[in-house]
Amino acid sequence: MPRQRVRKGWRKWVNTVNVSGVVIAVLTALPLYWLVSTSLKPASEIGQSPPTAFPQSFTLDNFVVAFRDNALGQYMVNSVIVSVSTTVIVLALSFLAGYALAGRWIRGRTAIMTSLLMLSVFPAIAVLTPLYLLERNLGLLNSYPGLIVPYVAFNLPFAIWIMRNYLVGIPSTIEEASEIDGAGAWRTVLSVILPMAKPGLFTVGVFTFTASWSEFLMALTFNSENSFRTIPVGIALFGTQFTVPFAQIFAASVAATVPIVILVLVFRRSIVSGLTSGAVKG
Amino acid sequence: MAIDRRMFLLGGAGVLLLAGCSTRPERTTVQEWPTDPPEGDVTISWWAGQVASKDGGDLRRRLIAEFQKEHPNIRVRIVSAPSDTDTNRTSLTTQIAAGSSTPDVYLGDVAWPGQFAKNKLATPVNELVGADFFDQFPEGLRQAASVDGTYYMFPLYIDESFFLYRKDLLAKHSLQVPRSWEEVRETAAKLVDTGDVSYGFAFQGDVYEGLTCNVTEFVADAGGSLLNDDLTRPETTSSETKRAFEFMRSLITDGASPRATLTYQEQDTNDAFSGGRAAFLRNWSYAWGIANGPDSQVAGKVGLAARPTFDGQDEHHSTIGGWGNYINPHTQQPAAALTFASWMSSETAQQFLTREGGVLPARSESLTSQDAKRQQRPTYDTAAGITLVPRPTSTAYYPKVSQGVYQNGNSILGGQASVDGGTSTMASAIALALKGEAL
Amino acid sequence: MSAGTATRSSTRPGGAGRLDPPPRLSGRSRLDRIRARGAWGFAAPALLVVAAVTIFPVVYSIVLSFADVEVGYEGFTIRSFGLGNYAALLQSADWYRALGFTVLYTVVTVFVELVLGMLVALVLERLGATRGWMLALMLIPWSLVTIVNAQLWKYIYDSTYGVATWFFGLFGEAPVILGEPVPAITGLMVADIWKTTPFVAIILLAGLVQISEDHYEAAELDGASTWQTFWRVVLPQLTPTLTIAVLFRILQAFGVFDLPFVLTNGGPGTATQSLAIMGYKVLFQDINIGPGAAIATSTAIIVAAGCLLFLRAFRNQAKGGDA
Repeated sequence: MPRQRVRKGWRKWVNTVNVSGVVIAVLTALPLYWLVSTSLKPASEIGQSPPTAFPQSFTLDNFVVAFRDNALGQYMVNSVIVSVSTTVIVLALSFLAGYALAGRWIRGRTAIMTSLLMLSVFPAIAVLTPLYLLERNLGLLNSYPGLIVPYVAFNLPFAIWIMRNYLVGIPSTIEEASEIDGAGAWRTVLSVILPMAKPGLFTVGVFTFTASWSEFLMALTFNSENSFRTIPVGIALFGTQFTVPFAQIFAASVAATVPIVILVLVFRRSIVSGLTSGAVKG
Repeated sequence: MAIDRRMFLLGGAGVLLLAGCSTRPERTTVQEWPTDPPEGDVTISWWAGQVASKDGGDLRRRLIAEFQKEHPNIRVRIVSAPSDTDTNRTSLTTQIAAGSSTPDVYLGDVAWPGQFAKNKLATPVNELVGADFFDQFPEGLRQAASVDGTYYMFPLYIDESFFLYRKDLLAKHSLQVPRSWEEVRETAAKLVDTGDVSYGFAFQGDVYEGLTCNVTEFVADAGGSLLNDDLTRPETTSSETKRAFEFMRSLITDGASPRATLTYQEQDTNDAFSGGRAAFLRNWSYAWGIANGPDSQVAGKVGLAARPTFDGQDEHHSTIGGWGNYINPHTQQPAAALTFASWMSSETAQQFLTREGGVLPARSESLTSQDAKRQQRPTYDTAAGITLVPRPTSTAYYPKVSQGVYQNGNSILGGQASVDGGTSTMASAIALALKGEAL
Repeated sequence: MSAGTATRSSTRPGGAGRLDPPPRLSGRSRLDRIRARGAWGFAAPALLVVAAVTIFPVVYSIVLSFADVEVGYEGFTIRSFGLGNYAALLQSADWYRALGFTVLYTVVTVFVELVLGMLVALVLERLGATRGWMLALMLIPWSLVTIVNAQLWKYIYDSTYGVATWFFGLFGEAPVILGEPVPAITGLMVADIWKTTPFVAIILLAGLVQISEDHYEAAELDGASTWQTFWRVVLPQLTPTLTIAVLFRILQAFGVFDLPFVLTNGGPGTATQSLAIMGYKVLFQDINIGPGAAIATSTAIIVAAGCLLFLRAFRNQAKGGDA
């Protein structure tokens, strides 16, 4: 239900909104355009000064090099497996935990929320070596679980905070009504609460996926074998000691981003409705 | 509620226990290691970045193939290392410090032995091959590969820096190839005035190890040094060192080098030279191939010489770059690892490198051998006449020392610190680093 | 909106195996205890995973920060315990500089992202058919691998062929953006803001849509202006969401690593050396384990203190009225 129709006094907003929208879109898109156009330029054109707005000679060489010589395909597969698994697990666990901590059943829920926050403040560099030791003893190095488990653990605090925030607003009358109907706890949760948590689920889903997709230090250290490397680590292999092949790196990242872009564009309605659903009348 | 809490605590305790039990495999000390090649089939892993071949490709697989001709029972598996040296080292040290038995052999920078020896991340090999194995390498390289006489690295290839110039422009304006820095400054100014180039001399001045290399060279040119011979005291406040810094700073303030030098690393300087914007370039040996390569706008118009020096000095200096093979002290295949690493430094491998590689072989004789002459590469021909000056890499705290040099060096170049102030701060930073107390 | 009644939970510990407590007004009845057990069952998997993975490394790191550590063949050997590492930190000018830069960076980027994110969220909320496209577009910077984002901006800021350099060159002498302290810091912030504003905007958007129509109608009836409505109606409702966004952005910004690492390596000089970069250098470049752990732990303490203060200031709203 679009709000603009209801608020007549806000009409003057509409123009400002559209203009702002255009400005935002342009500012967002400019660096992206630069990313894409650079990936289509040959190496000789990259180093030109002043830089060229349109590629003077289109080439797909960079993409070819990225996939053929640098095994980008394998890295993408690994990244997808790790990121999707992490996201699914985080969604499930954080939803349940967020729900449990949103109600008033658990004593010490404030302490738990605060502890989760405190655990997140630790910089990744500090936990790298002890985590490596831990994984080595458990034989988890160079494997998918070796990355998925830490990723889940490090994304959960934020996810739980977000989920709890959305679920806190659900009045207990809904739950009680459901229980009086004879539904068990699981039914209540899945059919009543879950749909209400959609904005939270979408937010957590998007953030967890992108965080796992981009993570570098742990992937570099734990999965050093080629068959398990992820995209960020793969990109770190591009070039030699003295060269940073911008064109190839950008080609690889365009290739890595295109699937996400397609997914987001195809599902944009669901994402929007997911993010903007569930207004809780209060 | 209680049940779940208990499970929770038990789970956490269990993990802590698991983590605490270190399942480090039995380690044999170096004295017990076999020195003969292994019998039977063995596979080892080799952690290495790209080794440039002369046509811009990668030499790693072909090197292994050559190795297998002599030792068919040893299979070598490549694990590609990150191309950035620092990232490479980070990943490596995390694994080895945690006791990982792989990689068995790793290709490491020539600047690592000091630090790696202290932290027990590499194997001392004197007892395995004898110290005179290393007599085949130049003096500077021997110094770099060892700590107090104990060797940790089997040199594979070295790198030296050269001075590239636009011979077409010099000819066009009837100018001589500059042999001293003062001449460089003059000639650069004249060339910039003609408008054929935007600036004179491109070198690396960013906040990174490359600046330490440049500084070491300029300081040696001036007759000074960054540290004393024992590597126990800084000497950056000596007049020779200050002269070097004065000169470097003047390059930027006089416009002979662009202000962007403060952010230049090797790639940027190459772009400046190969793109025709700079008349002179200081860079490693690979720059020759790039300058004459298909993407360069100055292909065929380039000359190569040793780096100039200051008026009144006669030695031309270059710092020592390069990479060599180290043996992981936790390796489970010491015999195979030793065979492979030492083979790479042997005559066979070095001659192969001379013929097929785009780098300078470490072995002194290979550099002046018939194979080298047949390649007709100016880098080979010129390298023999260059005096190698190592960076102070033999100290265990070299990364910190280098950081003191390049951070303060960059400040001096950019004018945020004066030469006197900057060199003095540098001395304090280095002194603190040598004590192991620098942060 | 808060759920249910506003009674305080009992502070007396209950639990299976004890005698049933006498009935109290805010009683923990048997039903309550069953519900509590169920709730723990829901929360336990997540909490277990977090605890199992993070507690050991964190404790290990904290312990090492108080130790003089030597790296040897058998791993890390602790030679002695003490406050030496922290003393070294407090005496290190570099550490203070890193701290100053990190705080400055955090404050500025979080503030700007908050303001911009709010604006973007407001615009997104009011867009009609194009909302989906805009959202998709905004997600792309956020979905870029952080290292790649840093490389992109490095290319844009490059002193020779960077677009930004060319652009500024139109107005006079082109600056060496990454070579001077102030432009380098600003450039870093711009790169971060470009990538991260979508994050804040999306969180705020999802919070914005939770605000029911009635509030807006009531405000309109009262004759409130746009600005007043925003300030008095929207913001208070949005505070829990805002709190989360700010909290986690502070966490992330304080640990900024990828951008300065790729763009400037902490330079020029040490102008953009953040605490995380300094920690990385000490830990992995110098292989100085004790002080490195001390940098990490002190960073964590500072951020934790900041977050706790922040939470205390917004206590009621943060708990969603669950006082």
